[in-house]
Amino acid sequence: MKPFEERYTAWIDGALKGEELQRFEEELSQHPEAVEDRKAVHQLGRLLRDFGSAPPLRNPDFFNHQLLARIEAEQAPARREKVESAHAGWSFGRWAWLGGAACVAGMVFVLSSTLLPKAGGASAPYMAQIVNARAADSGVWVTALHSDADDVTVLWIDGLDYLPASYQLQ
Amino acid sequence: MTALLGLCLSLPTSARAEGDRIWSALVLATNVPKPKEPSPELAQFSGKIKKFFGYNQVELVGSATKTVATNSERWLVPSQNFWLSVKTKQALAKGYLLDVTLYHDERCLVTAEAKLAPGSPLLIRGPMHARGQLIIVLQVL
Repeated sequence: MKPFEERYTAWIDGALKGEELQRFEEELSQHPEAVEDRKAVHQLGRLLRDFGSAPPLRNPDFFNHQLLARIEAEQAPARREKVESAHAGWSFGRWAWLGGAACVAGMVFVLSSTLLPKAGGASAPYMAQIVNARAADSGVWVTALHSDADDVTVLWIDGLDYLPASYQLQ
Repeated sequence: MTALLGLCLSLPTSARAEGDRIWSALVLATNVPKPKEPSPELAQFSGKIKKFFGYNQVELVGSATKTVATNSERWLVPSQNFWLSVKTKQALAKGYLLDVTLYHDERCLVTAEAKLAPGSPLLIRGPMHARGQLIIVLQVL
């Protein structure tokens, strides 16, 4: 007689017939969860047949780099340590107000430097401008800064995690 | 005011020819006793970085270049940890209007709409590293 597992697999696949099927289903009456298991396997098979093909990749370069980074992170020992945020002691409202004020000041700075005519300068004018910017996380603030003296536009991001010496830059 | 600026930026006289490239770099700015000369790729704006951020050495960690085309998206991966999505919204007479999104590992940091032109790099202040300040540079070549 075949082992139980072998007969169970054959039963799920619908390979048992006749007397063998009847005997096995009598034996299965002691395992009421088996019927649900078979239903789940058959449903999975239907889903795989219907939706088996993967969608085409839109950005293969980004996907490859992200995948390699994920593999390396899982194979290497943990190397990143989080530093406690210096925000402890300040309320969220206070930080939100400060971030909002910094954004407004930055935008005024950029707009005034781009709309007001510049004096002199025979060389090509510096053109980099931030039209608008927003941070993706609630704990991060973004400010657009332009310095006429240094002739540079900087997108200043605050609230990012500090990266320790063990964090490999590559 | 923002609408007025957007209107001014959206008035092209003639669009730039395709074939331009967009270059991004991850740079580490540090203060050291004996600073080294920056690599040739950084020569154009290492002075700006040093002066604005207050460091005396600028090192190139990595860079990436892609061609620019209107209404297209490019992924720039200057390092394994930092990458950018750059969507070209409009070609202007002297540059491009871009949507730029900066990522650090799996985290999206910031999304910005920016106008860039050759010779006018955009600097993005990234996180502080134990060795110094990380800065992402974005420039049209």
